[in-house]
Amino acid sequence: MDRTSDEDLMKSVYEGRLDRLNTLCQRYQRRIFGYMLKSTLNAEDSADLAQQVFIRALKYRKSYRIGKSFEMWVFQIARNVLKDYFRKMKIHNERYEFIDQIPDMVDEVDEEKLENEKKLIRAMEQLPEDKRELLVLSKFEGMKYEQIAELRSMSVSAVKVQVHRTMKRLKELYFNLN
Amino acid sequence: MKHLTEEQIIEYLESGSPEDSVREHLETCDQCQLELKRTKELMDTIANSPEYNVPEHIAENLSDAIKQELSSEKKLIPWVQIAAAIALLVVGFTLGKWSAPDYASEVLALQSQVSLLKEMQMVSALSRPTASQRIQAVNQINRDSGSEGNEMIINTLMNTLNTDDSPNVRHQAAQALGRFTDQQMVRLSLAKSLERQSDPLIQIALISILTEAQEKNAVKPLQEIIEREYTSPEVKRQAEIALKVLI
Repeated sequence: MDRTSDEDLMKSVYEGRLDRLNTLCQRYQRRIFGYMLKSTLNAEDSADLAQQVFIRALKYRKSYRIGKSFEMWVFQIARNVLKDYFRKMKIHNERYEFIDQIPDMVDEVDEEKLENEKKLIRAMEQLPEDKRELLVLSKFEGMKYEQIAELRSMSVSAVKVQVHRTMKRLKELYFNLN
Repeated sequence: MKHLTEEQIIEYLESGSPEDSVREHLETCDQCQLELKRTKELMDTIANSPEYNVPEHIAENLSDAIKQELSSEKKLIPWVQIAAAIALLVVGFTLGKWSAPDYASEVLALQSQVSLLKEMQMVSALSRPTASQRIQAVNQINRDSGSEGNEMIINTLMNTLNTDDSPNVRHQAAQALGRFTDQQMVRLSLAKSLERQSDPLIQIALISILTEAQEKNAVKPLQEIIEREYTSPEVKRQAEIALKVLI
């Protein structure tokens, strides 16, 4: 396995070794796809959106600042792709349909786990888009409050307050579905 | 006592070690115990959320896009070569002129080579991938070629007018060719091209160029355009006006 750091790989992409972006894609596609999936709750669109993120990374490779965190850079692109998507969805007034088309899972899961997942998704559907995305970064992607604050240009304390409020709201929604 | 906040509950669950005041409150408050239990259940559900398969086409399409990007970068090399050749010729020409007394015939030969290279550069610019790049190329030709226009340039523009995918590029080529209507060959080819064009923008441009040039050979294609069912009404109107002028 290639042990080169993300930042060194991206530096060589920046300098013209474009094929090295394939390795970065292998490392990040699961997280980016998961981020899109849980934020949009639409499996088909998420694949397209994740792909757009890597194509944009290729196209705008010169906007990467050498030495800076690749993770933050690629998630910044992902957030922009997602924002554009939500904007378009609003214009076309479309709704998400996730429950009917749960994508393939890596491992087989038992009935209870699947039911919990469906319930979680139904509860998440009722959150406003930006709060849902915030929760995905914090609880699904496991990002630190400091990282989210940088991505969203907010203070760390403001991020914390919002995450806690959103968790509280999600809890109400989740247990009211019973 | 006040109930626990969500923040206190989450911090308790994440750190695993509650402050004394939190623990004491939990021991006596059923409501907060329930909230703690629920938050824990929700956090477990999130943590156990299944992993989904990543569609393979994400990586495949990126790999294709990378190959495409690399090959388009390679295509730029002939450009660099042409530019380098021109630069070399200019340097050679200047040096020669400066160091030698007078080699008029060689200078003429060099000049013609330079202009040939320039023409080649202009012609190859028309095969660039995007329509806006090709429009730029046509404009460049329009600016740089003399008013007499040589055969290679005219043929290339004509070819662009008849075959380019983008109507905007074709329109630009038609406009560029409009400058050479003093040549009979150009007028004839434009009249022939009018038979083939279906885009109203190009049709109107060609009709006005041919009318201005008083080209009688345009009469037949004009009549055909008027007779065609699917010609747009505006084009038909222009063609009728043109016929009145030409006949």
